[in-house]
Amino acid sequence: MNDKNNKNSIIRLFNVSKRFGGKLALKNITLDIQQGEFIFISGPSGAGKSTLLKILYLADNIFEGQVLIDGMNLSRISSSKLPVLRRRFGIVFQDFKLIPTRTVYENIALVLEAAGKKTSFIKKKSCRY
Amino acid sequence: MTHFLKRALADIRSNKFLNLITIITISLSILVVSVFLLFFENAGRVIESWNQGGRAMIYLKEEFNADMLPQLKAKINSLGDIDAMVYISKAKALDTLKKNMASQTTFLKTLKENPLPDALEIKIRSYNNFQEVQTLVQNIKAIDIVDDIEYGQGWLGKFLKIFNLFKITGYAMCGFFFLMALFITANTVRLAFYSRKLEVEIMRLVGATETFIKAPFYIEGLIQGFLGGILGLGALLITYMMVSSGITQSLASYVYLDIQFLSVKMVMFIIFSSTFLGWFGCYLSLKQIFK
Repeated sequence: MNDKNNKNSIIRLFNVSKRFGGKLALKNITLDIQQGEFIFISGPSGAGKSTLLKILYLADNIFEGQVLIDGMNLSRISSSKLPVLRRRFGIVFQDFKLIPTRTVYENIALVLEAAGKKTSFIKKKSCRY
Repeated sequence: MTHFLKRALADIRSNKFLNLITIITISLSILVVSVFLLFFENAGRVIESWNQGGRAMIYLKEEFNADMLPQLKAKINSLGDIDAMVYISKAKALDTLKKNMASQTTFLKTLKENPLPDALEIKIRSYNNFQEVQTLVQNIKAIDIVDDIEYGQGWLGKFLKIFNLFKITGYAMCGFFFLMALFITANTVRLAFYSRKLEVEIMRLVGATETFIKAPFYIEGLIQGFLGGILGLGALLITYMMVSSGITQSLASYVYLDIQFLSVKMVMFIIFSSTFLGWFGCYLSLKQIFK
């Protein structure tokens, strides 16, 4: 990946490894993603693509190595800062993470509610499309 | 806040049966606890009225004369725990007797001399503690000039022993029901949490704070506790209205009974306690889930 200009780095990984039991899912991943860059990660099933993403938004927080997101070290991030970090992500989950008992509007609004936005803003934003 | 309240109410609506069971359990616990409190409050008042607020009579020996009074008063006061002390001379006691007996005083005229002793009427401060009263009485009895002391020792002792037994049973029952309500509330919150597990997981992943996730559960617990308290007290009030007038009427000719409902202070305390119970059950549950 691009490692020319660290000032514009938004995501940086240093020797990140992840084990499930004794099995190595990620091995010494080092990468540097610049702001505005469009990155594809491809590989066969079980290659560790989802595991890598889960580490980035700390759905999985047990790993080796260092991960920096916009200057924040994920190994040292406090539990109170974690929601702030996650609000900066836009993630389309593999399993969609939709609540079947809620309406489409409520499912959309949930993310904004969780971010602590005002009701009027949530209504405006959710009904936009 | 409105959002949390809406969510909590929506949760209650979606788990109607579970919430109803929890509220009924809390209300039953509150009912049992408040029955005991009602009994204690009224029993305390009845003891006070029967005992005229810890009134006791110290009868003095023949050799007593008015000059000895200040020294005797000081001596009794030094034993402590006495609210008020009034000296009743034998002449005054006879006058009072004559007044009280009204038309039947003719036989009193046949008396050659006043048979009544000089006496001191005292008010004991901690008259609900029978052992303290007994110790005080024994100390007063030990004074040379004191002949006897009358404080309703027979019935008061027995009544207070039964009362204390009820008190201990009451505390044990209250504790038991409190724990039962607590565990059921905690369990309801846990089940509500698991029914919303996916929602909580999504909220966490999109950046909701712990407070944002937990708040609706806490509100649910508070609502359950509050409603349980109100229902329990309502049931007690209805039972009280149905039973109290009957008891008072049937026993009024034998003993003095003034059964009253719980004081406003006590009602507020019970509602606050049950609301706290709901909150605490929720706290225990969430603490275990989020650890």
